[in-house]
Amino acid sequence: MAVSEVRTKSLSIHRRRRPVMRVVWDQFSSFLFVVPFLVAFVAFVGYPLVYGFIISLHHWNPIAGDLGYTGLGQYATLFNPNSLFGQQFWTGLKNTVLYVVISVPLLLAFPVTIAYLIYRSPLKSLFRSIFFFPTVLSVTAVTSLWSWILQTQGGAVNNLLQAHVPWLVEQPWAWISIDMATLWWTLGFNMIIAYAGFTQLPQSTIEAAALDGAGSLRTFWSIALPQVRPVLAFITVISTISSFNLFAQSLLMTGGGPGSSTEPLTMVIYNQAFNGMHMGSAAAMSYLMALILAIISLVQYRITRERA
Amino acid sequence: MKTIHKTATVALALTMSLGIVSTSFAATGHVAPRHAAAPAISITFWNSGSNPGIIAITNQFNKMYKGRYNIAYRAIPYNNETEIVNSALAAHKGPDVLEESLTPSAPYAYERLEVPIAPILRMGGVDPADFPASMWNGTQVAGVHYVVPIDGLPTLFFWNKTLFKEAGLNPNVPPANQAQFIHDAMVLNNAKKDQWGYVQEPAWPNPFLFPSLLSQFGGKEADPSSRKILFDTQAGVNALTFEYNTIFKWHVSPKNASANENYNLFLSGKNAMVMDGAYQYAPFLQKYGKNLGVSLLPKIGPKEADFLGQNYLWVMNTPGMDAAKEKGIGLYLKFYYDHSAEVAQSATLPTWVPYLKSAAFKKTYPSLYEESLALDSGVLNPLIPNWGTTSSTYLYQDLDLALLGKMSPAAALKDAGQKMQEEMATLLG
Repeated sequence: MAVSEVRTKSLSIHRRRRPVMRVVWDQFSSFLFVVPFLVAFVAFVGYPLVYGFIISLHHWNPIAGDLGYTGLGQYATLFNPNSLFGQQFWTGLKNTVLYVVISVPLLLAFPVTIAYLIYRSPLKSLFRSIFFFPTVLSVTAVTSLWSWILQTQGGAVNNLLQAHVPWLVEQPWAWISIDMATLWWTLGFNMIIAYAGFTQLPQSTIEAAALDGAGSLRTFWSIALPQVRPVLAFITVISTISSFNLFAQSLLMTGGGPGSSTEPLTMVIYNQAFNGMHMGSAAAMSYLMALILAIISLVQYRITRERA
Repeated sequence: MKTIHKTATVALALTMSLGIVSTSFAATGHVAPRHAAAPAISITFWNSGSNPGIIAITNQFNKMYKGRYNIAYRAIPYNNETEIVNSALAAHKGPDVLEESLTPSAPYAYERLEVPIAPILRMGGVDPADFPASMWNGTQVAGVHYVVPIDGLPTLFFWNKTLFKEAGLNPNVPPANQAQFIHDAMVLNNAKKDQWGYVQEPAWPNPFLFPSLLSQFGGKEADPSSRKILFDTQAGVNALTFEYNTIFKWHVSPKNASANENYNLFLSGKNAMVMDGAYQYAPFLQKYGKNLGVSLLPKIGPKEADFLGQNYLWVMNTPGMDAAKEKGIGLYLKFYYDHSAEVAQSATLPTWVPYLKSAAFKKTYPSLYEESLALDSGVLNPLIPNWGTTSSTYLYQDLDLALLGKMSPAAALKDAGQKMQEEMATLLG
């Protein structure tokens, strides 16, 4: 073989090796950028997820530790209507589902309507700020305020109405109170998302509707809303998830009462874990709740995707 | 060039990450100076809530014992003290000394996470006979004392003297028994002014009031040794029926009162009488000054009894606990009780009988002296693990339903008793 041929051959081999190393290095170095997040994810999500499931398979007390393996026994107990834990779980789930069914339509309708009104109004910045303001408050501030104004005797609302509505101690007023407080508090967040959707509407369609003689209501219902359907789907999903996680409003406004009629599942889990110190059954409840929520989210996603 | 740029960026990011991680690890360590004297024995003390009296005493102790002992004081939030402490214990980073209310100590004692307190008291020269009997007796777990009382919070009777005067009652004479209470409440009711003689609300302060009334009718909440529920006996029915009747029979209390209404209406002059814990004394005094009446509870039942809210201190069996540390804790307790005047100065009821019986205490703090009389007939929660938290879930939820007219008192207590008895079987010990 001639020297030039050998040189050419070795050069081409060298050129083939360099790209492979470069590819490997490129991929590895890209992976290194993800490592910090991966470490945090494993430490704060992955590991607790797995360890929590292991706890749910044991009788676990935070002071005494592992008190014995139960397998899926604690999950089975939740489906036993004669057990105290089972009754509490299903009562909590029933209360949570009831709250979701009532609150999600409200958390969709009011923010979207207000967002559209702001979109069409001249004082956009002012109204956006006013409606968003409650969202920045802490839940303790919100519940303290609403508990105070909804007192049966001496509360601001009953004084105004000259009535003695038992807002916080009787049904259905207790749920209505929680819904009012939650809507007032979180309306701004959904409103901003819906408003962002409305700002993407092509002006031409609105103008064309006006030229065709469509009124404001018809334009809103038949022109604007259908075009922001993906945004509405997103708001529905996040409102469902956050409603399922209801906790602070029930704890601080009604204490889960009257009786346990406003006690959501999260509060049942909290009481099991930190008051009763039954970490194992609390973990089982939370995994079952997560499974239910995942199924609901999947169904919602499928429905909204099909419609889109 | 692009590859060099990327490589340099990755190298820089890794170096910075390693630097941050190593610095944070280094920050948790302790580097002892060379040729330093033996350090003072550090004793970590976690206090539920923040008590100015304890803080002042701790600072003085640290000054006096500088170089020998140092109490590292930390206030933990009252509302989630159990979660904080349990998380710390699970991570083996719990305190040496912990102060909370009584019943949270029970699970730690059953799991042998606490050190028996009697030897520590001996080391410090503290005589348990100098504690109020109602706060020392009945606080053993399996016959062993693990806790000492730090301060007391009896249930008190407050009244608005101005409203008493306007209703034609003697403003300086509170009702002494059930009959007088009902009479005064009826007289104080004034529909035109939207004024109530008394406000019986569900939820708080029932955890103070119900045990007081239960004991006044001769009952108990539960037996700690057998874990048998006892509040669903006739004494419990009598106690709850009294509360129920203030709303539905005598109509001296409004229906459907919501949380904090007895407090808010008292402060706005629409409620004449309150039965609540001594923690309400400060805000009521601030509002009414000399027009605030304070006394022990009226005798609603045949006996005198008064539920004591309380704070207790106990010593955790931490890895670093040894005889030297225990001695330091004993000395701190002796110092604390000898400075009971500082406790009283922070408007908290001390639990040291020599000081409580002193002329100086009676003269300097007359209202606290009146409160201290409740210690003679004080009752505590049963020392059962998690009694406070589980009773709030089962017992007080059903009491609320009775006070809202959804259940009769007997039915409410029967239902609560069944649920609590079932829960007893799952608790530690």
